[in-house]
Amino acid sequence: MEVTWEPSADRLLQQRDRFTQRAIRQEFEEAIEHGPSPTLRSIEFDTDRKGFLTPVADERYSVVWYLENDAAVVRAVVPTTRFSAETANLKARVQDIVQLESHGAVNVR
Amino acid sequence: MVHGVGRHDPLSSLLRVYQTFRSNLRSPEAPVLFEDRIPDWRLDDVNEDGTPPYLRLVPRFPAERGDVSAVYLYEVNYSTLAGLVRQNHPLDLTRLFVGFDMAVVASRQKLKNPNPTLRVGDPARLARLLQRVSGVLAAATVPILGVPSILLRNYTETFVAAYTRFFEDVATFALDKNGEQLIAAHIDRTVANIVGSDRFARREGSQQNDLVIAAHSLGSVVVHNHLVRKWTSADQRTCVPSRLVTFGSPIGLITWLWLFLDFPGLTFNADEPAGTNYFCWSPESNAGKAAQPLTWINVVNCLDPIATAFPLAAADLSRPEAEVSGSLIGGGVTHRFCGDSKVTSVGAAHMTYLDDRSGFIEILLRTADLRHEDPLTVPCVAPETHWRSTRSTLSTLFVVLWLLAAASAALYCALVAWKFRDARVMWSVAVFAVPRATIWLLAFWQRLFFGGPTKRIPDERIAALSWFDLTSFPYRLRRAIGPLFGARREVDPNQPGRPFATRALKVLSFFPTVVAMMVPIAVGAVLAGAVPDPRISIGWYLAGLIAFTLYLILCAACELVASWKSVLEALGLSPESLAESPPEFRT
Repeated sequence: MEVTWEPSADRLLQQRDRFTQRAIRQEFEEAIEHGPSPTLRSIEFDTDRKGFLTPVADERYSVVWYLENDAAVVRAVVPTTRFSAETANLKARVQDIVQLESHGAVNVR
Repeated sequence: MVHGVGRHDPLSSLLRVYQTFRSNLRSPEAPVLFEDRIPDWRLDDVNEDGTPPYLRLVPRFPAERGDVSAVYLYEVNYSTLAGLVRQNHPLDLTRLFVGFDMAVVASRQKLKNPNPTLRVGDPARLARLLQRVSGVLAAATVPILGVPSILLRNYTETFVAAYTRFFEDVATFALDKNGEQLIAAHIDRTVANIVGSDRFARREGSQQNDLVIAAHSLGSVVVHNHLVRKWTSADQRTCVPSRLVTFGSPIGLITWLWLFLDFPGLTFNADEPAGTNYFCWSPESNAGKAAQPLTWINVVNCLDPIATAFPLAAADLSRPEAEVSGSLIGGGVTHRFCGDSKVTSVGAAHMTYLDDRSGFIEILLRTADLRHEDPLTVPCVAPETHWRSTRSTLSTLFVVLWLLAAASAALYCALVAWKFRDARVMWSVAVFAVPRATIWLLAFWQRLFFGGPTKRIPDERIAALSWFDLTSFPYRLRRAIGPLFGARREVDPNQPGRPFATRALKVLSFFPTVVAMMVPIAVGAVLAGAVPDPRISIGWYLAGLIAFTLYLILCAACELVASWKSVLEALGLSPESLAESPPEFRT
């Protein structure tokens, strides 16, 4: 699957050191090579717009991305994996965390 | 976090644990973000003045309902306390080890029809192996604490200090009632301060605060003692941790030792009078009482000489296994095996748990809720692999140590041969080729010189030892001939020690070593038909002493490794036994 890192995601990535950047990029691209799948531990947080969370870098970071035209468009990267598919309002939680992490610059809405 | 033996600075130890969460402390460079295992937590408070001092961590993002909203990290060590206890009342290690050796031989000879509370291996075989180890400890004091150490103290001070401190701390908690009570009261107060603080009492909604204790080495024995005292206590339940992680823990080893030395047939009995026991501990029964449930994970590093997995009964000897099992979430203690099996790990394995960031640290972080996955899913070494690689590395290490011991003996003989200008002196290396024989001889003399009655071993107990046992023979011999040289038949606990006599004995105890050192010289003298001129440079004497001291220390190390390997076999942890029937406590 093709992966596009949006400038917003790139900016968040660039706040990390090169080892973290490499680990996040590589692991994510390997993880979604064959599309999002429950076995790869991706969580769907936005069913309407096909938004997913994929834990990477030894379960320390989550990549926030959307499936658009069979391609992965990465919107943000956040340093937590404390998301559960069972959370009542997962989408709102993801939005809040992305906003906090990007100091309001990135909106996944 | 409760630390084990050694010197600790409370703040430094607290920060070190925190730093291991955030960075690789073994890297020579300053850390980068990549090393941070908990990027979603931020440090919110450092309180150096707290009782005890603490660090407060909070989630970087708002916690969900039911999530942990703060983690307080405390550090407890009783090292300063134990150090002060020993500073006020120094113990003589040679007497400690010889006394221990005597206690082992007395219990070993009385061991008949055992019905052990801890069902591990054949008690008689384990007792023989313990005797071998106690002999090494008694013998090792000659080169480590005796004349060589005094002469070379400028170079060996740190090593000797670490060696003595380790055993002093163990003795402080296991043999010295004052030490045990001070340390137990210290940990009780620390835990009470933590759970009684506003921080702990403050709860959000229905959220319950959890006390998680991680304890290393002898710290785990101190915590175990605390747990057993509080576990079934009706009014102090809050002082029982909801989760316990022990690592590098000698609980299995010390519990077996306690049973062996103080309980006939190795059967725990809380009603047994404890007045003449070797250990200072007072057995109490918790049987039939309701206990606070807890999760207990025990982590064992490969090649850690002190840490073991242990049977369920060791968690609380006083309660039936079914009761203990009912108080442990998951039905028992979960043992996890980590670490490398390299030869170089042998000396370091006990102290490197905090460096194992993907193994032990990950288990710790998950147990403390700093990572939200299940601690039991952290990839660890399979038990069979752990024991197999332990045995294999010990076999290699034994060969390496034996070669080094032989090389040290050869170096010493070569120095003598050089003086005689006769290579045939090197034949005498053969005399030093069996470390077990060297250690046995050293231990024999130590037993003879220091094996009198102690506060714990009265003369009657020595008189009851067998003449026909190679270990007890020197004790009987000393009892028979000692009074001729002024040895006492009873200890006067109100009298001070006899420092001059002890020092004189320590110098005298080096005499057998001097005799052994004379062997190549005698061989050279016979071959050359002349005695060498003793007026040689002091450098020759020093080089000879260093080479021979090294040889003795390597012999002791060889014997410890060989005993360790034999213990694994006696416990049914050899590859053959594991393939047939794995013992229950192994996993």
